[in-house]
Amino acid sequence: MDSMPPVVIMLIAAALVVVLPRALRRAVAVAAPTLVLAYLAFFLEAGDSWSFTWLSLDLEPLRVDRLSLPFGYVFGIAGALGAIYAWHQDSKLQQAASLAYAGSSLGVVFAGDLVTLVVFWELMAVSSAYIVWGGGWPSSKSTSARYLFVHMVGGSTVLAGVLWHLGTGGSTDFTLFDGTTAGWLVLGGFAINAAIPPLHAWLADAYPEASITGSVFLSAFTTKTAVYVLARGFAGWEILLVLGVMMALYGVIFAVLENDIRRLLAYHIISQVGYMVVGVGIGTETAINGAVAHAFAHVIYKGLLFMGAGAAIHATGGRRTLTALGGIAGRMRTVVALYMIGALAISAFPLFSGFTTKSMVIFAAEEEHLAWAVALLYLASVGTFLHTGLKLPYFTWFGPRRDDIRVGPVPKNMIVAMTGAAVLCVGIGVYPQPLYDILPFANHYEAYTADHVVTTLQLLAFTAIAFWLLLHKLRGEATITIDTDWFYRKAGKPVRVFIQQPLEWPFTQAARFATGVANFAGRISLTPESGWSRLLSLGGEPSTVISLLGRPPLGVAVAAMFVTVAAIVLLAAVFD
Amino acid sequence: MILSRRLLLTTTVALFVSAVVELLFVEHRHRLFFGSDTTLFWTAFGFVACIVIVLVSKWFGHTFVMRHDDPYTGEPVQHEPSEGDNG
Repeated sequence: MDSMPPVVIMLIAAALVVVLPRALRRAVAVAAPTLVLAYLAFFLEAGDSWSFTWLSLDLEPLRVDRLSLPFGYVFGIAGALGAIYAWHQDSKLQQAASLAYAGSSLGVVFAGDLVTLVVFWELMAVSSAYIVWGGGWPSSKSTSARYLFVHMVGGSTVLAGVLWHLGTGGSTDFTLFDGTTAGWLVLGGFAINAAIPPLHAWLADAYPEASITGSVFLSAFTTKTAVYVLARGFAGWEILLVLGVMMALYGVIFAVLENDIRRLLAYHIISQVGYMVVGVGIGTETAINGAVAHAFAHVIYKGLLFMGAGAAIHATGGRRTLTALGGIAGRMRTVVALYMIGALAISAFPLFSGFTTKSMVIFAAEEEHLAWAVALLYLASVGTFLHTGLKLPYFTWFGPRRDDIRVGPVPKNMIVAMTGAAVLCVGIGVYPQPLYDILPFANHYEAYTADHVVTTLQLLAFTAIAFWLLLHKLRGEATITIDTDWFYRKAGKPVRVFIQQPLEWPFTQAARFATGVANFAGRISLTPESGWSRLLSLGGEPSTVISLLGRPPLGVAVAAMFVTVAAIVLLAAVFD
Repeated sequence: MILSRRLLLTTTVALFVSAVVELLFVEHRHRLFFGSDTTLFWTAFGFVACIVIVLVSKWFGHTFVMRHDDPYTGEPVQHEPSEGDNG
């Protein structure tokens, strides 16, 4: 039976928020993902699809199965909670970009063919770059340009792989890849979005530069979509097992060094996605179940953690580092309590969601007798509790009372969104069966055994004791940590001068022309807030939307594609 | 003093409780690798792992990747927060 892909709902909503008045915009931003959730739960079921042939390509914009559905559900939840968290905010650009971003992630997850996948993959990159762009921090715009560059390189790599695959007789059907050049190219592109080191630096670079509401959205979609496509296309590839374990530890090590609270959380996304990549790499039914379950729980608790950190930044008027915060717990108790629920969930504390999901991946590794991987994943678990559960909350909220920090009120909508996420974290922890029931394969894992509970409690209790012992060493340091983005940030200038700017020139000219037209249209309309001028404005001035679309981001995007295509052609010439 | 009396007392109590709970409730410890089924193994693992993570990461960071000056602008890293429109 033909059904409508859920992305349609989100894209219509994204278009609507551009033209609707403020009060309705917020309602649409919350209603659209909620509607998607209801649509997935009540109207779609495994086996539904919509396919047709276009230009001799077999396309399938909707394919529903037990692997895509859990991701669809959790993306709906994340979209709705994120929109509630951002209820107080009034930025058309952020609202439209967030809806398009969440929508395109749903587009990827329900894409049955590689062409549809690539289209939504690129849309995801562009819309999320606009979220970073609108961050409002001094460096948001330049970070957004870097972010877009990296993702366009990734997207072009996926596109090149797909074209290679089709050109060598492969079908458009999105299924397991084999170890051909095409497969490796696609894997390379997916690895960028999954933030697998050394291709990960965009994540820690960009997420803290988004607005506090923007980073809640960013934390949910890109990396988890990547986990989904890896599970679909590369399940059982052993290299992913090794890379996943490395990710889990890499994130932990860099989180020790980090002073910016949201960057610390960003490094822990890399670490947590490592567990999911391990699950995909092992590739057994239990392991894939574990990867999916952990992705589901992760989207919710990570959203909650970013919400908590964002609330602290909001209340203190923009303080975002451990060295600039501390001693304010008494003035924002509710936020601290809700954040701690997320922290206990990510740390896999019994009765919280990580306990019932993360351990499933570790159990799958045990089943395959991968003792080294299990030991290293437990090591990473210790690091996770140390940073997210102890260091970040301690130095952000606790410690000696600081009266020099002014703490303002936190909007009620933020508390409502955090409460929603916290309830889900506890719900999945206490009663995981509904989650287990929607996993791709029948579940035979039991989280609550005496051995598992006692082991976890012992591990976490003595991590806390070691934290106490080393408290003086863990204080934030006002430093900047260089990561692998150093290489392309240093190379940025020649790329800008010789590739980006020449490519940008026609767009700059077009933008100048379009700005003139938009301003003219604004003048001739009867009221400034009607007709074309309103349609063309995202943030106030009629020309804003055009200048946003026409200037740096597009040039960066074209430059990225140019560089990638050139590199791939060069590779093809050398190796074929 | 790093090793305060409260810390030592807490550690002792935690060890005692861990041992009692483990001996009472866990009939058969799962053996993952050599020694992992020993009583109180995971207390030691948590404690040592935490110390190793902190010390190794800090050494790595201070030696290789942490900078007091912004490597991209050359300006010193600010101690005070930068104001932003963080709505």
